[in-house]
Amino acid sequence: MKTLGGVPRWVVVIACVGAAFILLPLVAIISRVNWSQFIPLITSQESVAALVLSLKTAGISTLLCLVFGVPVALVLARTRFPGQRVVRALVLLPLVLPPVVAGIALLYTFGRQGLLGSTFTFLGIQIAFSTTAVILAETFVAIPFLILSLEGALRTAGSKYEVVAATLGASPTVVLWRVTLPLIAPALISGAILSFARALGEFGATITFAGSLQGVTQTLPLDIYLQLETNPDAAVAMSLVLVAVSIIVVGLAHRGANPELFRP
Amino acid sequence: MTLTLDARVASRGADLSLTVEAGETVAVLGANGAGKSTMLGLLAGLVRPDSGSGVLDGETLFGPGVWVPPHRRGVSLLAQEALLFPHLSVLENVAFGPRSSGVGSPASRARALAWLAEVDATEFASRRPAQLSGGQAQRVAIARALATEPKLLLLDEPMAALDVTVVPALRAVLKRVLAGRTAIIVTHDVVDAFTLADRVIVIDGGRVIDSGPTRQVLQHPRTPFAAALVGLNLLPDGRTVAPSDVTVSTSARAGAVAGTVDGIETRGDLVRVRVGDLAADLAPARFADLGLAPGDRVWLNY
Amino acid sequence: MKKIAITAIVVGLALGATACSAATPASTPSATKTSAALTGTIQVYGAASLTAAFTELAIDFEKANPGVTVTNTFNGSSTLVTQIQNGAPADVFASADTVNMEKLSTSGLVAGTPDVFATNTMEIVVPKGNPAKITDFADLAKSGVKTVVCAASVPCGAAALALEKLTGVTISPVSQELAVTGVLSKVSSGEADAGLVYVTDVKGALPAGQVEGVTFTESPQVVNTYPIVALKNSKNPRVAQALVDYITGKTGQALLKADGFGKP
Repeated sequence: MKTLGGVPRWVVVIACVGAAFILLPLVAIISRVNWSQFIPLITSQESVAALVLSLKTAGISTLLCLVFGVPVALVLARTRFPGQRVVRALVLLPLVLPPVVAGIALLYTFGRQGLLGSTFTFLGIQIAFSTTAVILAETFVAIPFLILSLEGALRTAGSKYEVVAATLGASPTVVLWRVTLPLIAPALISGAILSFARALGEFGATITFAGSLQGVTQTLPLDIYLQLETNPDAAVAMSLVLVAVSIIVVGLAHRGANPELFRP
Repeated sequence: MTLTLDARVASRGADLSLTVEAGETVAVLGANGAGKSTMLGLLAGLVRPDSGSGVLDGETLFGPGVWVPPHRRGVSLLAQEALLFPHLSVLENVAFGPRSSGVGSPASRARALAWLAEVDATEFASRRPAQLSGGQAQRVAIARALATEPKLLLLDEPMAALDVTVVPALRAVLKRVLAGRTAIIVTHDVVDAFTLADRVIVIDGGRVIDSGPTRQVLQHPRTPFAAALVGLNLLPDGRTVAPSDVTVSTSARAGAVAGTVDGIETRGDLVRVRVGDLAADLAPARFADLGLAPGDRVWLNY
Repeated sequence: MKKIAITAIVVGLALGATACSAATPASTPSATKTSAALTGTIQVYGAASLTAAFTELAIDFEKANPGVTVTNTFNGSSTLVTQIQNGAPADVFASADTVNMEKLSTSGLVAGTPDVFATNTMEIVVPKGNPAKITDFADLAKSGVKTVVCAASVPCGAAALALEKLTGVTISPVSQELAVTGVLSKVSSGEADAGLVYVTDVKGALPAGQVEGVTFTESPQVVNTYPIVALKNSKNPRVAQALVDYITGKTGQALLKADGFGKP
């Protein structure tokens, strides 16, 4: 028997119920899988197209999250400016915003009638109903995960190593690449993986903003939702695929968050 | 390579001026919060002054309308903690400065190896900082600071965080590398001042209150702080007297100064009794005979 | 992430179902025995395209029968069938097509034979002002026209597909939405130039004045039929059947006609 480590027995009981609440639905999905048809179901042209599109868009979104999220986290953690608290709160808003609201907001920003829509139309770029729209939607909902994880890591790490690097003659850019980023590498990795996972699961903002078309905007979650109407076996099979991908992603994030590197 | 500093930082209540001649090592003494860190910060470019200027080797570091960022000052800072970059090997740490200033990789490594040899740390070259002891890490940090070939080296209590057993060896290393180098060392340890510094300045309340050749300042202290550093009592008339030469009694005597016991501490085989600004060292037996406790009225003779 | 949400919904529905059936005041024994007056609460599960009409019908029915409360649940027909099959506490089900009604009949969950109570045809919906100048069905396939349809697996998508077959016009949609409401919102926001929806959707489009309907000659040839039935597991079969009779009767039919539905 493992020890309870001073945790009251009743807390353990509630914890078991809580864990079961999370795990049972996963078991339920697995129990519903039509195993004899599993391989044909997940290798159907529609499913593969959705999976490939999902992985592609989530991958590109993660890159965009890094490109824009790292600077945002740096500015939030290392500089001081008026209204900083407000900016931080707003930047993290997509985290708590219902995805469908995010979709509407994006529609009114990048849509044909949107804030920037006429600019893009002028440039000959059509965003609505394109894979770009999916990527924008996914980036929008995923980027707070990266910013949150990085900003925390930057604050914990402090700036003492950066100060030393500067007095050794390193310019701010060199300090960023050779000291700051390597020091927060674990948070960078786990943040990127979390963003990828969030992007992979995006549904509401995508259906609202990007629509649904096989191979272009119909990502795995959209495909699963649609399949549920007509071909529940396929929906369940694809759900299991998404569960598997998510488990791998969560596992990687745990590894990425290994604090080994932080020990002096 | 003359350094002149004359700056004010209102938020820290500092008004500091200082001159360091080329090749001179100056020790900065002062109580906590006296303004020593502010002085180093001003020189390293980590603290912005409200007014004043700093000139190193003819080049203005800061002044009216001028602000040179830390990485272009040619000023290296060695802190209490070694702060070696944990993600780089020892060799890469030492090569960091030269690499950052644009020296090629092979040349940087060669320079790093030379400096590691200078501080007797060649054997650690391929190790990670986490595998070093505090003293070893600080030696590497010295090599790293010097590998940038700074015009001015700042040392902020470089041995304060180390195990006392490794301090003498590190002090010897510092004595070697600081010879003929323009440097400022902040310290609490009077031994550092005697061994490493040509000159001493004393800071209190954000101002330089005393300055001069090490022996002159410390052997004939003019401030209570400097006197306390060398273990002497500074008397109101400017004379100094050793605590062991002060006698204590519990009854009034001719020529004695009255006071109240503020503190009692054991120092090796002696007991030090503090009365106001004065300290008296008593043999334990004598201390027991007097039966002193804080708050007692006593009379001192010296 | 979505798969978890879907599972959670299923779990939630199951829990909700138990809670509701326990909490339903149902028909008190005394009431059913003593008089012919109808009392109690019933739940109607109706196809999404019936939203406006059934909301009105429920109010009228409640006025005519003061002891009765009617709650409506609207969703895609196939989603509703899945929910009823999983024990949702529905008393009446109205489908937008015969296929889904048959699914429920096959499961043995219906009481009696479903009655067709309305028909619906397709219409082109365009943003206000008809910017792409759509005048007939063939215009939907013109290059440069962004057309949105329903996915083939939902009834409005099946109807669109039937129209394409009939006219020989092949539409390349920019999005295949999961529900007819998705088509409407993409058009009303101006993102799409045209969409295919039910006649009744154009009429009942809520952002009034945002969209216009464009009728086309082939429209009457593809007709959706709406069957309705009382359900076997109803706790209040008398009221359920009364509502079905009301809808198929004179008053109900007049109301449906006013909303744009065709005769059975």
